[in-house]
Amino acid sequence: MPQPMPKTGGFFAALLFMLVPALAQAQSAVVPPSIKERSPVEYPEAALGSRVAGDEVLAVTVRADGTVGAVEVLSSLGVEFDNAAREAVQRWLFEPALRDGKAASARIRVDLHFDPPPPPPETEILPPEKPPAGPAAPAPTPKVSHPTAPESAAPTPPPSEVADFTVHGRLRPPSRGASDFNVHVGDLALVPRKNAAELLSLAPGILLTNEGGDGHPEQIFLRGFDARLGQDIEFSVDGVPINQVGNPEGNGYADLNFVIPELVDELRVVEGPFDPRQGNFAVAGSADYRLGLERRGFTAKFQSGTFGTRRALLMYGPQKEAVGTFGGVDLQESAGFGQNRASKRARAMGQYEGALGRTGSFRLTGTAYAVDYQTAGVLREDDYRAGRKGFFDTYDPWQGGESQRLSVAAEVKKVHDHGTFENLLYVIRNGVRSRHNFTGYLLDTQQEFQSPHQQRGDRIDRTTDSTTLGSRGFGRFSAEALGHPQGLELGYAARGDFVDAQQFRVQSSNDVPYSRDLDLYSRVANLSLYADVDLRPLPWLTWRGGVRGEAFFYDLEDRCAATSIRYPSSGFVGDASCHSQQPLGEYRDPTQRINASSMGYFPRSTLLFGPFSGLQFSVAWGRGARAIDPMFVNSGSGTPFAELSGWEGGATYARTLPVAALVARSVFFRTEVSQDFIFSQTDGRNTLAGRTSRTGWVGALRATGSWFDANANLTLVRALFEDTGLPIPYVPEAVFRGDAAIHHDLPWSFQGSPIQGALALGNTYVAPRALPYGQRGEALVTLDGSILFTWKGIETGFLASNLFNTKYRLGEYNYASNFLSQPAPTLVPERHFSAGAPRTILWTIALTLGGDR
Amino acid sequence: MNQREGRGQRLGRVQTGLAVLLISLSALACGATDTGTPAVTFQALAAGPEAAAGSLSFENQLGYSVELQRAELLVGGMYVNRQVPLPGVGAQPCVLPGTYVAEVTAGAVIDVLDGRPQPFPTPGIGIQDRGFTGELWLKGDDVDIDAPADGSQVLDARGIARRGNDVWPFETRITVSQNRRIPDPDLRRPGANPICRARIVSPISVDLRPSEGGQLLLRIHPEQWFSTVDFGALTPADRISDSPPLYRIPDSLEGQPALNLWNGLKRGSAYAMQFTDP
Repeated sequence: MPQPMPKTGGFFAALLFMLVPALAQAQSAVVPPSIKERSPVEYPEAALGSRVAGDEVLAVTVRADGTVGAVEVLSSLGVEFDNAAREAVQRWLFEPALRDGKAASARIRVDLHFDPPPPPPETEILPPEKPPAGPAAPAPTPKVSHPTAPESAAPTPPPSEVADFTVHGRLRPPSRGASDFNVHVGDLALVPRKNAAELLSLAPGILLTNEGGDGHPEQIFLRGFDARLGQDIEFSVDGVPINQVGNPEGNGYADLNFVIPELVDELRVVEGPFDPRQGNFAVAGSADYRLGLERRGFTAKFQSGTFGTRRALLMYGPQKEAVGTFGGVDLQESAGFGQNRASKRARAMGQYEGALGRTGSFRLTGTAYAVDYQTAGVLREDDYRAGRKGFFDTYDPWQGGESQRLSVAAEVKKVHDHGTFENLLYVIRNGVRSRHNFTGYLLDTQQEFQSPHQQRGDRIDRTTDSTTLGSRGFGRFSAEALGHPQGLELGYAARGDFVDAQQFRVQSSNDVPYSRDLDLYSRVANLSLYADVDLRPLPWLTWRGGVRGEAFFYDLEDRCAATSIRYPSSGFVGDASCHSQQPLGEYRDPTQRINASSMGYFPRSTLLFGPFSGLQFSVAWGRGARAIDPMFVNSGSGTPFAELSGWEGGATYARTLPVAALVARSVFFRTEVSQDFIFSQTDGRNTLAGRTSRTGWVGALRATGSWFDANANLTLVRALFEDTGLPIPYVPEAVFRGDAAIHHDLPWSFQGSPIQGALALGNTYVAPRALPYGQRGEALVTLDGSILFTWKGIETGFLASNLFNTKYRLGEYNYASNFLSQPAPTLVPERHFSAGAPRTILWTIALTLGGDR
Repeated sequence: MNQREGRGQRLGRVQTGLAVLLISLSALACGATDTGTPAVTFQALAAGPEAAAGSLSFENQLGYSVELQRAELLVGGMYVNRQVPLPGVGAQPCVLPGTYVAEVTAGAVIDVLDGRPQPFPTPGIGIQDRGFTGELWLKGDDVDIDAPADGSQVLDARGIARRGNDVWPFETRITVSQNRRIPDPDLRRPGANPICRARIVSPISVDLRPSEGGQLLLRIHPEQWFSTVDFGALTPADRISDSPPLYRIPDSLEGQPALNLWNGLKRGSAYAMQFTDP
């Protein structure tokens, strides 16, 4: 049986991760050059018709003054690409190589990856380079998918000689149309966010709620789906999966709290099942976080504020290494607002990107995370209105949880003449415990075989210990046909989960477990293959699509297979949960082995038209699946998928104006799910429901300028049960999110260096949500903001959440509970809510040493 | 028209189209129906038979003429469940598995010899859904329905029973604790008869749908309590006073009068629930 992980392991790992980049730098006797300023590399207009995608490799001489000398093409995509690359790179400025502390010339190797326009995300939506201010800006041209992770060092010869090192770009999957969002966090990182999950709101239609407290995963709603803790969204960090299989709190449980938000460079959110790369859980869509630290050098950040919140963060990005090489350790504690909301959290992330020969690269990533938190849970609306409970009170201070997570991953990328190959291996250890009480004293009714007892309480105590091993990879090939480049990607994913899960009911009076709801050891193997073609029969028409095959194998050991017995023997003890008798009292072992398997194929397809003057249209269709929760697997039967099919039609308009780069989208969508899940407070998790559908519209706009960054999105959706036509409860029908940040030099300076100011605001509006039994929730409006001042490497200011201090109900429910708050039990469904945080203000100060930006 | 103007016009048309679609979708989303039946608050009342006016006379099935002079019932809670009562179904759990559509959770002592509706101290709440099973929880305030002991007096009654020339002045005070505990049918089923079941009158056959601002009236028919009580079976030991003569029906399950009074008190037909819309 897997053992719980020692909490201290994470901190040793954290130290290791911090040391990795440090050691990498220390081994360089001579400091290689690093990019100081880079101008965008434009996709050559002459190649727009051909839509070539690929890598261009350059050898660049960096002079001792940091300017670029000779540029030699080592690997060419064509003359037009050679010229575009030369023209751009020759404008770059470098910190020159250093030898014995003196600047010296050096030769480096630069890899540039070119992806053709049109606009969709990987191109226009995240231009890391902002359009220059002023009227002299160059005419807008499509940009390449610029390497987000620059330079990593290879052993450096004396600077008098030439030295090679590589600028690595990340391969981004081709766009799936208007619902494929590559969100570069950029300046919008200035908007206060509690955790990395909240970065998701930069993509449209996402609402996060949390009745579980600071260390508990967010409940996520996306485009009409109540994904609960992740069941309907496939989450990953640089390809390493986050969703947990077989967690008793929900299959697909995804805790993003281990991610340090400052180390997220961008994220790709695909809303809908339109990409063959999307695997299990990608019912509503998928989200992949990409890590990176743009701020190089050592950064020490300290935050302190209301509710005893303190946070210390140390980040390190070696100057001469890639953005993808970094380390970070984050410690945070808070007394929490209101009753029973204290938390303590520690997390560390480290990553090293390096070259592997002349055309390859590798990346090593490690994370460690531990949290201990309390949870207020839900409150009955009638108790709050009658003054029996305060808005931020709790019924049961026993609620809370602990969680630990460790992961290591290694990725290798190799570019050959005939294609690009990438492989990722990962190992994840999770230990999760969560304690909830949704119903008070309602469910522990007297059973005839039990000794007489009063209601002992409905506390649910869940533990999960899991190990996940996996690998994923692909080969991407391209060839010229029909006068245009055509692409093909073949990929696989293999994953094994070993999960030990228990769920107990615990007596409220003495914290003693009195019933075992679940005791399941699961071995689940998931193997997938996919083929994805990228065909361009006409200059204005692209078809991307393919098929994904999924296979699931369940090997389960149910240690509590007999929970009730008809006609037991005379020696029967009815107070136990897991019995060793069959009907009529015949002996059986309480443990039972269950095996099941299933296989399915899921086609996905996207048609892209354009771009026509920056406007591109897309039509996408796809089928996806969610594998069944191990606890619902029956022996000997095929394991059904919950299947869904979705389609959408959308338009993306992208344009670079003199003052800003604009991307606007409009998407209409419809999704049908054969068997959905709906949250049940009685079970404290999602339970099976019927067939559902979602129809809606998404609009999104992002404008990025040299001194501002703004993002807004609106999602309208109608989510219904197909049999009754009733709305799906809890799902918001309208979600708006706006984020804006501005920064500029202030008219003051100190010691000759200007002081820069930054202001950021984030606003969320959620329309009243449908609740069970005909109820409607309340509209939710929040406004967050920050003001920051920067001088040289020092940054200070204030972050404020819920600026207007509104008392809002973050989560709203309607069900029966009995918290003994009234003279007789309460049995009729009643409104419950989890309180949103009041105004929270944090003072922040950060000091960066040795950085170049 | 130059190329730039033409492009501008095309873009303008696209933007107008998008705006129209946005407005259409807004209407689509906002027009969604509710998830089902809304929650309601109503007034809760209880009363004796309409004919009762300080006393109540009736003849029971065993030929006794009974004149009730005092009858007060402690109703600790009142519930209505969506589940349809099924005859022949074995013992139900104390909290029914179906959805409860109405509840009154603050108790009241009801003068059963008053035919005028008497309000419960707090309103009831419910959902606008049909309920078919009514329940009365006979317990004191803040006493757990599963608690082994409850000293609350759920019934306090006094009256005179006559048959021929025989007269039995009587009183009764009923509590529900271990004195109402039914022995377990066999050792393997120690929880077959929980005390909570003794405290709940269920099922009361009803057919009602709560509505906002309406009234839920519990009509209590005490004659049903005494319908099979054989007052002649009261023993000298039950005679607590000779002058004036007075019998006390025991607060137990011992003897025909006590047992049948208890069964009558727990009989669903002794109660009726009616909901009146505002």
